[in-house]
Amino acid sequence: MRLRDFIIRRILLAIPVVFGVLTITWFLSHMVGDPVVMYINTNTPASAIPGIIRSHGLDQPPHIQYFIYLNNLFHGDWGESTSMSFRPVTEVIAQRFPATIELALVAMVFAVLLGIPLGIISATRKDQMIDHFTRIFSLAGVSMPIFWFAIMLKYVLYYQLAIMGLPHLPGGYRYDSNRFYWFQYTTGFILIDSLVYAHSIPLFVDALTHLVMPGFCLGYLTMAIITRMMRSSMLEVLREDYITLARAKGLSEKVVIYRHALRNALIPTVTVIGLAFGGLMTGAVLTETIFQWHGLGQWAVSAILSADLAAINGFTLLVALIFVTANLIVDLVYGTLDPRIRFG
Amino acid sequence: MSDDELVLKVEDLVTNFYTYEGVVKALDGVNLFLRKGDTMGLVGETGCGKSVTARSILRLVEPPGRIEGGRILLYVPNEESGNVEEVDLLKLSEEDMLHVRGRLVSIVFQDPATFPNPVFTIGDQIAEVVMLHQDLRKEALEIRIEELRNALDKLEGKGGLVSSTRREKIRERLAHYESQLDDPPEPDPKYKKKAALKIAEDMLRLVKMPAPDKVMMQYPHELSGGMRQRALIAMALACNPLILICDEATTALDVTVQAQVLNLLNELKKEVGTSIIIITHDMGVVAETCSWVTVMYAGTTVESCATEELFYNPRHPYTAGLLTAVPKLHENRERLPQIRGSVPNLITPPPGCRFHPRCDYATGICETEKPHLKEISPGHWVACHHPLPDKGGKR
Amino acid sequence: MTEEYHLRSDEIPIDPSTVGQFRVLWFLELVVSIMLTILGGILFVGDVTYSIIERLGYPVVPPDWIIGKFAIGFAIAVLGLIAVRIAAALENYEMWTFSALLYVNLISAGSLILTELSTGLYAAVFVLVPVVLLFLPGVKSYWWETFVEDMVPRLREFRYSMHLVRKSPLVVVGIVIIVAFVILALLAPWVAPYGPEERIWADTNLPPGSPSNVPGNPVHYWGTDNSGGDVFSRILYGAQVDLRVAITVVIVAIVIGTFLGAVSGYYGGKLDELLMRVTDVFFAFPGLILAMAIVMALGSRSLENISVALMVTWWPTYARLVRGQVLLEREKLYVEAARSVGASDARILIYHIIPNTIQPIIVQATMDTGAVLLVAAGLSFIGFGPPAGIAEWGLMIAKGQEYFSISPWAVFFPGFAILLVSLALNLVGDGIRDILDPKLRRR
Repeated sequence: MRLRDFIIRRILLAIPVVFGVLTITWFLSHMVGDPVVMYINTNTPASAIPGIIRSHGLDQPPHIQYFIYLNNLFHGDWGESTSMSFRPVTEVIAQRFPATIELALVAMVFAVLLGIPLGIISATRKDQMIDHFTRIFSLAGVSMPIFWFAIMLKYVLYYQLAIMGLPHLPGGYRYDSNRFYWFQYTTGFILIDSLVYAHSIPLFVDALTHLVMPGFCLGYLTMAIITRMMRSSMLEVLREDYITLARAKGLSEKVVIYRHALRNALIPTVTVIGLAFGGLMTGAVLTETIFQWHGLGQWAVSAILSADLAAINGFTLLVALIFVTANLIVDLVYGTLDPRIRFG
Repeated sequence: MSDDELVLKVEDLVTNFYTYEGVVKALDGVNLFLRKGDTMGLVGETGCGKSVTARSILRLVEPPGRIEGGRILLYVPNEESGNVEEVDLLKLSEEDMLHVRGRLVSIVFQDPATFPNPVFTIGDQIAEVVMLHQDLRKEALEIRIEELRNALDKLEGKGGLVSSTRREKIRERLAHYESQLDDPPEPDPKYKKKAALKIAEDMLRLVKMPAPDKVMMQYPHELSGGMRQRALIAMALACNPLILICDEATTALDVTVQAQVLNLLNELKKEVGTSIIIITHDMGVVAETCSWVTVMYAGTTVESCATEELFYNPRHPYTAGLLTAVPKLHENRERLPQIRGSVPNLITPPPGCRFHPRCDYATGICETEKPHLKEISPGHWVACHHPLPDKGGKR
Repeated sequence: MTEEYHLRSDEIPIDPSTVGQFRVLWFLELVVSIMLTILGGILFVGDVTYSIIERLGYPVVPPDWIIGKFAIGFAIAVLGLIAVRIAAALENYEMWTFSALLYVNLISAGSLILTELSTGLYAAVFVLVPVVLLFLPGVKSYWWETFVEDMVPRLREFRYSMHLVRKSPLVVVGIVIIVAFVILALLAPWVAPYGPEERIWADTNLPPGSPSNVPGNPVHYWGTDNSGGDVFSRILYGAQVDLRVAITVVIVAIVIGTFLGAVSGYYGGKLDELLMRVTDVFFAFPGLILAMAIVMALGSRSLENISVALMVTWWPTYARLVRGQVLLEREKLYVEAARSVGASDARILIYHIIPNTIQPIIVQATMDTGAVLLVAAGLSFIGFGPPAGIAEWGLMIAKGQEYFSISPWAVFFPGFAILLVSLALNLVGDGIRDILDPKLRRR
C-alpha cells in the first residue's frame, strides 16, 4: 500500500511540472507563429478565415485561448499538425512514437551494456593505461557533436564502403522500402512487426542493420554519461569502509567488487540512466534529422522551422511526460536497490 | 616465554606511506606478541600507528601505504597432525591471505555506522563469511534431512494413496541422505546458504543480540549503533578465528553500551577460545579488560608487559608520563601533568629513540641509537636506553 | 572611529612619518572607485537603454563604443562599488583593505583593457597607480607581512594542486588544447592566411594542402569549401565566435543560477519550493527544442538569440547545484559559529557559504562550456544560427554537408575542432574535479 501511495504522490508532484512545460511552450509557440494556421489550409477560402478565427476563439485574449487549448487537450484534441498535411497531432504521434522509442531503446541497451562494464574497468584500474583510454573514449562521447558524428559515420560506413563496392550499412530510413515494398506497420516497432506479423527474417535483419548507425550514434553519448557516472561512483564506493570490511572478511577482490561495491555503485548510476533517457529524446532530434528516421525528433525540427504550433506543443508535452515517467521508474528501481529508501 | 604458547608474533614491522609531502614512516619496527587466550591491549596516542599495525597484520594497508619489512608470524594449529605451524603472513600469496582474513584473523572496526554494507541484510553479511570459510557439507545435509523429516511428519496424519506414495519417496531420499552423513557430498548452494544462515543466527544469539531471528532480516540502518557493533563482532567471530582484533571497537559507542560490549568480548573469549587484541587510547578500557598491554609511541613499540605491572611499575619514560596524565578520582590537582613537546612528524622522525626530544632522561645515545625491545625483568619488555628503576613487586 | 579600528591599530602602530603616504593612497583609491563606478555605469546603462529603445522600434544611432558593452560595463560598475567600500575602510587602516585593493584594482585594470576603448586603457593605467603606491616602503611594511603570512598556506595548496595537475596527463593535454585554441582564436587575424568571409572563387572544393589557383595566395592547409572559403582560416575565426558564445552563456547562467540557488537554499520555505518546481519544469523540457522555440520566439535567427536561448535553458543547472551545496553548508558548524557572533545573512551567504560552493561550480562550468559549445553548434547546424557566410563551426558543417561527397574536409575539420575543444574542456573539468575533491586530495 505504501508503494501505491508513493506512486500517487509522485504523479501528483509531476502534474505541476507537466503543466509548467505546457504553459511555457504554449506561450512561446504563440510567439513563434499565428495560431490560425492550425485550422486553415491552402483550400480554405479567405472569406472563411474570420469565421474560423471566431469559432476557435482566436479573437479572445491569450489567457482565454490558453484555457480553450487546455480544454481541447483534455478532450483528446491536440490540434492538427500543419507540417504533416493537417493530420491530427495525436495521430502523428501514434505513428511516429514507435520509431523514436525503438531507436532510443536500442541506443539505451547499447549504452548500458557497454557503459557499466567500462565504468567498472576504469574505476578498478584507476590511473592505469586502460583507465586513461576509457576516460578519453567516454569523454569524447560527451564532447561529440552528435550531428557531425552521424555525418562522419555515414560517410565512412555507408558512402565510402558503397563506392568501393564493399558491403555497407544503410545510410538512412528504417528499412529498405524498395526491397520490402509490401511491408505494412502493425505495431510500429519494426523489429516486432517483421518477426511477429510479417514473418520475414530478411526484413528483420535489414531493419537491424538500419538501426546500427543511428543507434550507435545516439547511444554513444548516453554510454559516455553512464561510463563516467559508473566510474566515479565506483571510485567513491571503493573508498568506503564497508569495502575494507569485505576485504577483511577474506573475500576475493572479484567478490568485493562485483557483489559489495557494484550494488552500491549502481544506485547513482540508475538515476543517471533515467535522466539520460530524457536526453535521448533531445539527441534523437539531431540523429533522426541526419538519418532520415521518420520519428518524433525529425517531426519536431520541421515543426519548429515551419511554425507548426500544435506539433511543437504536442511534442514538448510528450517528451515531458516521458521524462516524468522515466523519473518515476528510476525512483522505483532506486527503492529496490537501496534498502535505506522506503517508499512513503 | 616459550614460543609454543604464542599465536601471533610481530617482528620489526615497517610500514611506510608514500605521500606528496614525503614518506610517512608510520610503523618503524613494531614488535608484538600475543599468547593463546590472552587479551592484549595495544595503547598509544592518536596517530601512533595502532590502526596501521592492525591493518598491516591483515595486509589491508591501502596505497599509498606499503608494508616494507619485518615478519608477522602466525602460529596455526594443524588439525591433522596436532602440531603448530609457523606462518609468515608477509610471505603468503594474496590468494592464501584470503584464507587468513576472516578465518584465522578477524577484525572489528571502529565505526559501526559505516562498516556494514548498507545494501545487504545482517544475516546475509554474516552468512557470507561463514559460507566462504567453513566447510558446511555436514550442516547443509543435516538441514536437508531435517526438512524432509518435517515434511514426513506433516504427511503422517493424512491418509490416501497419493500421500502414501509420497511418504515412501521421502523415506527413500531420507535414507539416502542419512547414509551420506559420514562423508557428506558438496552441498546444493541453496542448502549451503541455509546452513550458513543458521550459523549466523547462532552467532547473533552468542553476542546476545536481542531478537536475533528478526535482526537477521534487517538492514544495518535499521539497527542502533550498539546492535550494529554486536553484529560486526558476530561476523568477526563466525569462523572461530585464532585472533580477533578490535580496532577502537568501542570508541564510537556511548559508555554504557561500551561496557556491555567489553563484557561480551571477555565472555566470548572464554567460550570461543579466541585471543584478542584490543586497540584503544583509553587506559580505562585496558585496565578493565586486558591481561597484557603493549604501548606504542610514534610507530614503535616502547613497552610490553602484564597490565598490572604496567600500571604500577612502568619502566619506559613515555608510559610513565602517559599514566600520570590519566586523571584520578582520589587526587585533587589544579592541572594534569603532561608530557612536554608534541608528537613528532613521522615524515622526519627524530633519529635514534623517537621519544628522546620529549624525554627528561635522554642522553647522547638516545639521539643516535634506536633502542630495541628487550626483556629487562621477567615478563617486562622495554625499548629504552635508560629505563626507569624497577619499583619492585606489585603495589 | 570604531572599536575595531583601535584593536587593529594597536597591533601594528602606524609610523607618523608615513601617514601622508596612506592619505594619498586613500584619496587616489577613492577617485579610482568613483571613476570605475561611473564608467561602468555609462557602459552598462547606455547599452541597455539603447537596445531597449531599438527594440521598441525607434531608430537610434548609439555611439559605437557603447554597443555590446553591457556585461563588461556591469562588471566594472560592480568592481567600482566594491572599490568605494575598500576606500572607505582604507581610511581606518583596516588590514583586509590592502590585499583587497590589490586584487580589485588588478581585476578592474584587466576589465578596462577588455573594453577595447582607448579611454579604458588610460583608466587602466590610472587604476594601477594605487597598486604601485601599495608598495611604497612605508605602506608596504604595514600590510605585506600579514599578507604573505596569509598567502603561504594558499600558495602551498596551489602548488600541491599544480603537482596533482602535472601528475594527471589528461588534464595537461586538455589545458594545452584549450590554451592553444584560445591563443589561435585571439591571433586569428595574424595567423589565418585568409579572412573569415573571404571567397576565392577559383579555389572551390580544393583538398587539404593544395596551393591556391590564384598566384601568390597562401596554401589552403585544410582545403576549401564549395564557395572557395579557406577552411583553416574560417575555423580560426569561428573559434572566436563559438568560444565567446559558450563562455558568455555559462557565465550568465552561473550568475543567475548562483543567485537564485543560494537565496532559495539559504532561506528555504515557499521560495525554495517554487524555485525547485521551476527548475523541474526546465529539466523536463527537451532542451534543444526549448532553445529552438526561444530563438524562434525572439524573432530572428542569430548567434545572439542562440546565446539568450541557451542562457534561459542553462541557469537551472546552476541553481540546483548551488542550492544543494548551500543546503549542505548551511548546516555546518562554521556557519553556526558565524551566526552566533552576529554575522548577517548576507554576510554569511557571501563570505562563508558561496566560497564553499565555488569548487563544484568551477568543475560544472568547465564541462558546461563544452556542452554549450556543442548545443550552440547544433542549433546553428539545424539552421537557427547566423546567416550563411559567417564563420561559425556549426554553420560550416551544415553548409559543407551539402557538398559532402565532393569536399568532406569542409565538414570534417570544423566538427573535429568542436570535438577537440569540447573534449579538452571535459578532460580538464573531469580532472580538476578529482584534484579539488577534498576526499581524494589528501592521501
